[in-house]
Parts: sequence; structure tokens; C-alpha cells
Amino acid sequence: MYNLARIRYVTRHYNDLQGLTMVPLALFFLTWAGYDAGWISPPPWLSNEWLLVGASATVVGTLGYTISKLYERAYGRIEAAPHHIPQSHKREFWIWWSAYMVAFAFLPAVYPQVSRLGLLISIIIFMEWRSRREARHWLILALWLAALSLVPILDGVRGPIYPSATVRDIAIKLVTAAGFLVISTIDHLTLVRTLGPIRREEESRA
Amino acid sequence: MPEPFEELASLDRLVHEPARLAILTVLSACESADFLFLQRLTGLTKGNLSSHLSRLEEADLIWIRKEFSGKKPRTIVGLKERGRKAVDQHWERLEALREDTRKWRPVPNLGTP
Repeated sequence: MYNLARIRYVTRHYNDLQGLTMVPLALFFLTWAGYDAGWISPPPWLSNEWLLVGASATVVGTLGYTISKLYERAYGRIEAAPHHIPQSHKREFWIWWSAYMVAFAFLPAVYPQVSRLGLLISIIIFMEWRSRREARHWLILALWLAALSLVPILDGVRGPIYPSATVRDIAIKLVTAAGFLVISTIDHLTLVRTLGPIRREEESRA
Repeated sequence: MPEPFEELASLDRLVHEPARLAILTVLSACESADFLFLQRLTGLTKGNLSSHLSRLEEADLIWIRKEFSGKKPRTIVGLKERGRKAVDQHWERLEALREDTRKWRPVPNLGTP
């Protein structure tokens, strides 16, 4: 018997549920943390910061695209329906967005220990959750990152929470990488549970 | 026949058949889907899926388009406005029926004749 609720959910969010496409992004954050910590260093020909960013973006984009093609070959393709967002949701969205932007703009100005990077990643993940309320694991990661970014506000109470800004950023990048790996696995397994395991494409597409 | 059963019997069988209902439900949640996606989601064989799609196309509920992706042929399927209405109405009727059946009470046993 078909689980029609799950069929609807997977169809609506098929492109978002292609979890493995996020693995390169998780590896990027892991590499970035390793680079900050001095565990790894880029080759000399990539010593220019912008070149490094460009090369990383290209590699992450290419790998993500290749993995999405694997999903397409295994499960097929759909054209998603345009989102019909109710007026009340739009209002709520703007309230949340404004609150986050205020936090992003002003908190680091008042408390320089607060991590802008962590807040930014948290906002992006939070907005992804807003478009897919059933995906609570995205919300949990967004809240974790927001908490990690904001916790230095409590610095005055019992001394500094992070020994330095570098340690704080490494922690945030490591949590982002681990979080991406976990949520990508959950999303991928949701797809596999509904569509079956990834296997080679059928002989033809009919 | 009691009223709720009449209502059940009068459901559109073209839409109510489980595989076709699954296909229409998938299509109502997107703009269009290709044959492979429908096959993976419904678990039907190619022949079975083709036959269900043909019936739905004959009933003017869906459209089917063939195209090439590189050298590979692809079959794209989408819901027509009529199909969208049919599947929405069907779900509404099923929901109403479910609500009705919740109100059912067992008939008290009045003893053996």
C-alpha cells in the first residue's frame, strides 16, 4: 500500500532531499576548519586567498552537480510546482528575516566576540527550514549554530567561552560540516526509503 | 445499500485505483515528472505504469510528452486542469467519508430472535 503523505512530501521536495549533493559542502567546511587550525595547507600555487575561494567554489559546485546527475539517473527528474506561500507566512517570513538581519548587523558590533559567519550560516539554514517545515533537523542545526555564534555574549560571566576568535570559528566550521553530513544523510535516507536504493538506471526510460 | 456504502461505491474507479491514485497524487504535487520518477515512486513495472498512464491520458486527466535528453528518450508526464480537479475532489470525498465513518456507532445487539 502506498504512503501517500510521504509520496507527496518527497515529490514536493525531491530536489531538496538529494542529500548527498551537500557532502562536498560539508567537506569544504571541514577543509576550511583544517586550514584555519593549521592541520592542512593549500599548495603554493593556491596561496592567493581569492584563487583559493574560486577553486573551492568550483570544486564544490562541480561535485554537487555531478551528484545531482547521479540522483537524476537513478530516480528520474521532476519539475517542481511553484511555491504558493500564504500571505500570513510571507509576513512571518519578513519578521524572522528582519530579526535575523538586526542580529547579524548589530550584535557583532556590540559584542565583537559574536561570530558573523556562524550567524550567516544559521540564517541560510533557517530559511531552508522555513520552506520545508517537516525538516526539523534543519531547524535544529540552525539553532545550534546560532547558539554557538551567540554564546560569547556570556563572556563576561565566567571568563571567555572561546580562547580566541580562531578557535570559535574553527568550532563553528566543524559543527557546520558535521551538521551538513548528518542532515544530508537524513534527507538521503528519506529519499531512499520512498524511492528504493540507488541503482543503475533502468534499461530505458520508456 | 446504506448511504455511506453507496457513497463508497460511487467513487470514481478510474481515480480510486491505488496505482493511478498514487500517480495522480505525485503529479498533483509537481508541475511534471518523468517516467523513471513515477516508476520508482510507485514501484510499478514499465508495462503496468505505461498501461495506467495510457488510461489516464485517454480519460484526458494527464498529458504525456516525449523528448530527448541527449540521445536518451524521456517521457514527461503532467496533470491537466481536469486531472487536478479530479484528484482534489477525490481526496475531498475520501476525507468526508473518513469523517462520516468516525461517527458510526455499532448497532446494539437486541438479543437473538
